[in-house]
Amino acid sequence: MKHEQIEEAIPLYALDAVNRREHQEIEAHLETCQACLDLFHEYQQVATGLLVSQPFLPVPAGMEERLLQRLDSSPGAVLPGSASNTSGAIYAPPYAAPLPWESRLRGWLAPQRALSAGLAAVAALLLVMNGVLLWQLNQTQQQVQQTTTQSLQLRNLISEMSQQGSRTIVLQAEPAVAPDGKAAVIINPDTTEAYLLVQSLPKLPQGRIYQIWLNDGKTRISGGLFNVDANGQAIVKITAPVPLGNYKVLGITVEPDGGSPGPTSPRVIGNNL
Amino acid sequence: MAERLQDLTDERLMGLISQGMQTALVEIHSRYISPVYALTLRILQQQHAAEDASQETFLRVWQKAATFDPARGSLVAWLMTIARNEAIAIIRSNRRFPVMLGEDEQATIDLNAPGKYLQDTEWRDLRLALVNLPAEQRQVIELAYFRGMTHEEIAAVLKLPPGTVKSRILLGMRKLRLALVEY
Repeated sequence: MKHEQIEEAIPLYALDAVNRREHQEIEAHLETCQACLDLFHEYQQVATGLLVSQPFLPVPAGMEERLLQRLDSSPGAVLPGSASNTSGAIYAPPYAAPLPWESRLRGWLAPQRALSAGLAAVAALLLVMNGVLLWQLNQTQQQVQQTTTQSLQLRNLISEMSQQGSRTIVLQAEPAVAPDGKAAVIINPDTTEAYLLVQSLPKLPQGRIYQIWLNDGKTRISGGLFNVDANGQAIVKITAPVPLGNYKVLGITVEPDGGSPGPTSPRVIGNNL
Repeated sequence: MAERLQDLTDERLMGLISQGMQTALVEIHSRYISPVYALTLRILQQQHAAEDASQETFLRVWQKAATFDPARGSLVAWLMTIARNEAIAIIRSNRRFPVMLGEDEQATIDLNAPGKYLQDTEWRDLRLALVNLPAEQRQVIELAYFRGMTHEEIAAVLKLPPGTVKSRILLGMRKLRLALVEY
């Protein structure tokens, strides 16, 4: 099409009323013709106006609840704590709420002075997680299956904690990215396996996943991928190619499904090892 | 002092959604479900289909929040474009979906209806301009934009020469553009 023909077709293009061939020609022309681009923007405003100028209508009841149910059932989406999420307190900003995790942790730590501080911290974290697991057991059969798996992981974790030389490192969350996020890693520097425990990490949209990074000061390798459950929790076994004492930093970022060769987004949580 | 989600801007909420915060999506839903539902119902003319399209719209927001760029336009424009695409996709996926010819559109538009979320005076002028278009111009614009038909498809449905349909769309769109410019 010539310039004049395209100029005349722009109102149809803004209305999405052209066929595929015309669409491609106009699209290509707009990349090189500022006058036509300006004209398109004017008609685009008309088209947008037609969309937003609909009269107010009452919305059928229950649409918000159905949206949350769909999010729960979407593949890749993490199950939210629907009971609390759909309650009247749904607008309560989770990132601004008090931190019961920390206060409960402090309470549990006090009578357990015989344990090392790190061990006590993890024990308290396990108590919290076990409480949630018990609640989940009362839910659907599918959740029972998932909970059983998590319980086995907890048992393995406790076994790992009792090993000579194991220590616990609390990871620091980035306030701007995961304001409520809590995590700890149980690590034995002489072995190649560690356990990561996370709580209150944000649920990720479909197509995104958390990725663990291990950095030895020169290179960074992937330590695995994970998603969090309804409560933002996960227990992840990390397996490294060399003993973990070789690594200086552990960090977690959000990456596309399947993971990335290197981090592509800011760190969510992490710490020096 | 903690910020409340209700007090956050659309842009800030979209940032939180892209980080996976469901409650931020719920807040955006509560702000915009009404215009989204109104648009999808206008396009689909069936309550259940409109509910489905509205739901799909907010699922897209959940999935694509990171791609929203406020520099390229407002959230409401982005959202309504997604809603239109979702509704049109439902029509295109179902050949038996009834095609309304837009002849009774005037009767369904309430010019005094409140527009809670929008700059209503401006948009009411646009609604008024649309309603005041000659019926044959309004009809082809409706079929193109609210039924997702190309000018050739409209010509086939209305049994008119393609050139006539194009002329009617152009005349109508020029009048609507003038209505916005004059405002």
